[in-house]
Amino acid sequence: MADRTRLPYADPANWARTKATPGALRDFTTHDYIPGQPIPTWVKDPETGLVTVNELKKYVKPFWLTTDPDPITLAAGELSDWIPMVIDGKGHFEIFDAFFVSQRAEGFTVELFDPGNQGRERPILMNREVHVATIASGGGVTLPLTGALPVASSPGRPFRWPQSFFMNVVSGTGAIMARFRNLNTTQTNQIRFVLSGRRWYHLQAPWKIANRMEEIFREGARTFPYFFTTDQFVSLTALGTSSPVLRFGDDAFVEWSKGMVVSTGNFTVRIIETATQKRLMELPVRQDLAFGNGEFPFLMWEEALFEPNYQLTFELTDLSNATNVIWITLGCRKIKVDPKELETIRPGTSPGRP
Amino acid sequence: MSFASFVRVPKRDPSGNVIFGADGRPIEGLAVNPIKPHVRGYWLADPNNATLVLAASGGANQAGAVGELNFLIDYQGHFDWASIVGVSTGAFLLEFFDPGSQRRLQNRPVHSNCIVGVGARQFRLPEPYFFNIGDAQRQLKCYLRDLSGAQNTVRLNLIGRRIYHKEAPPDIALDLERMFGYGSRTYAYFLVPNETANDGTVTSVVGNGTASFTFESDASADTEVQKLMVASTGAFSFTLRERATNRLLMPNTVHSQNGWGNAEFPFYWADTYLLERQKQVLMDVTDLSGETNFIYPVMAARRLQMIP
Repeated sequence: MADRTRLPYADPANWARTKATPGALRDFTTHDYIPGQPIPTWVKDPETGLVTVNELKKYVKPFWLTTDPDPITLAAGELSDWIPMVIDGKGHFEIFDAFFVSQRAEGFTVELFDPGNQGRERPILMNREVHVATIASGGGVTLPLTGALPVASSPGRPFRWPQSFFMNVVSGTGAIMARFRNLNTTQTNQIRFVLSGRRWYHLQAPWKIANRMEEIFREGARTFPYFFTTDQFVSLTALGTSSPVLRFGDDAFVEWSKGMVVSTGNFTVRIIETATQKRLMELPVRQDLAFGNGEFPFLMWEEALFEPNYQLTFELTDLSNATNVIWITLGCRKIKVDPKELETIRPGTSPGRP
Repeated sequence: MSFASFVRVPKRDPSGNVIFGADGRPIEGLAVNPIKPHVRGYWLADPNNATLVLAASGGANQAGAVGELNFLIDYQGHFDWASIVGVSTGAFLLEFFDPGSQRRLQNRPVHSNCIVGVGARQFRLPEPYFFNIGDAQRQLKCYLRDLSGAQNTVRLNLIGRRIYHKEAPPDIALDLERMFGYGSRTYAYFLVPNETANDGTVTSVVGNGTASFTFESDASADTEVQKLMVASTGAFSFTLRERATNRLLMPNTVHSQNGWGNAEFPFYWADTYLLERQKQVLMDVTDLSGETNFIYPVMAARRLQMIP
């Protein structure tokens, strides 16, 4: 029991060193892990008050996961086979960001799934193929005031997924399967796609730290990122309209936090909750005022929570006076609530209550 | 901060009593935040003007044709305004006026490049502006003046969240009312130099010349400045100095690109700056472009108004 509750960094062997640590008496976190943030390097031992190296940090390293092969050459309009992105079995992988390179300006689409989690109700990461520039950084961006920010600086604007994705290399296969479609229909396209995150080398860590890592991984098992796009492919005729729908799955609650779009022209959008007819905007809004892109996503100030099986309708109208191909992606996270834990909130338990 | 979607709450038995574990602590369960389903992101627009066309008049950097947008917030629920986005064919000046509280949100018209972003880089208000709709709709008026000297087509949207308290169960509605009742004590405010004319026209700085601008927190409220934005036709250097103490915020002049951003990438101080009521900050500028320079600096702030 004592071993379980004792924090792994409270190692007496390190205490002597901490006395010489500059700023050791200032405030440091006592948490060895804060979800969604870098692992703290320095932590204050709550038992001694001394600042020491976080033992957890020694076994967590940055990691890039690439396709095999890399790069991939797609023929004009080609849909690739499923391509593995394999990691070795030395430790779990937590995905935070995605990057891409595309030889052609049209880009390509992506589908991702984690075969290790098939049968565990989180096999895929999107409901349909999505445009790569809506879930990854690498296309450059042009803003009205600031101007063009080139592709060369794209790594400085990583697309952070709405939720990190935990890949378990022990119970899973240690691979992400990816499928790409070249959106240039006349030329080949050489592409690269990379997932970036951190490895948890629990198999090389002392057992106390390994246990702590496993505990952290179990905490993240109920939430994972998910990218929703319209149920159907959208192509507007010149000045035409369309009302595609987007249905969230019936397997989990969905929290929408980021909005991205790639299109061949300007258009307006009005988003309506199909069941309640509640509109998220009274009038149609131009797409660049409602969505961002993979480098600067539109950040929902109030993340929207949708119950399972909810549906949104997108009323789209072309402004470009030409055929307009539209790829809308909502960056979400799915939250699986254990039915046994779903408690009825009774008066007095509302968090807003004083 | 957005509302958490899920919260941990103590489990209760059918009688509503908290269930305690063997260690004497309440046993917790994960539950949907009951408030969250009644809050949604929202894009606000003038219901009669998806786009507004300002006629060509004046000239470049001259306050020209005026247009008006009326943002109506219907009675379905409160609106918490968080950011400004828009696209236009040229620069313009804008002024916000809240008739419900008889409150202007700036002391002079503000240049669009300083406070109008796009979806990818929204301009966040320093403080969300809360519209309590009560039992009737609320309104926000926005007056626009062309600065481009040519016909100017403007789309402007305000982004925030709607709080649909009226359709919520009574206890949740009560919670929401209590939470947001305090929202009107502080509010977003844009501080523009006193030297700016009431129509937004600025006095240009001659090539390589100097000028002095005065930012003043008036007598009605303290002002907490959070970020700095500027639109100008050329580079300049500047110093900032507190008039009351003669304290400089830098030992020497600083280039405009090192101290002022724009609506998409504002400049943030390391810490917010409190400009107490009736205090002034002087901005001494020197043109570096060698040509006539129209400079529109804006400090985005929030006002702290004491309500007895």
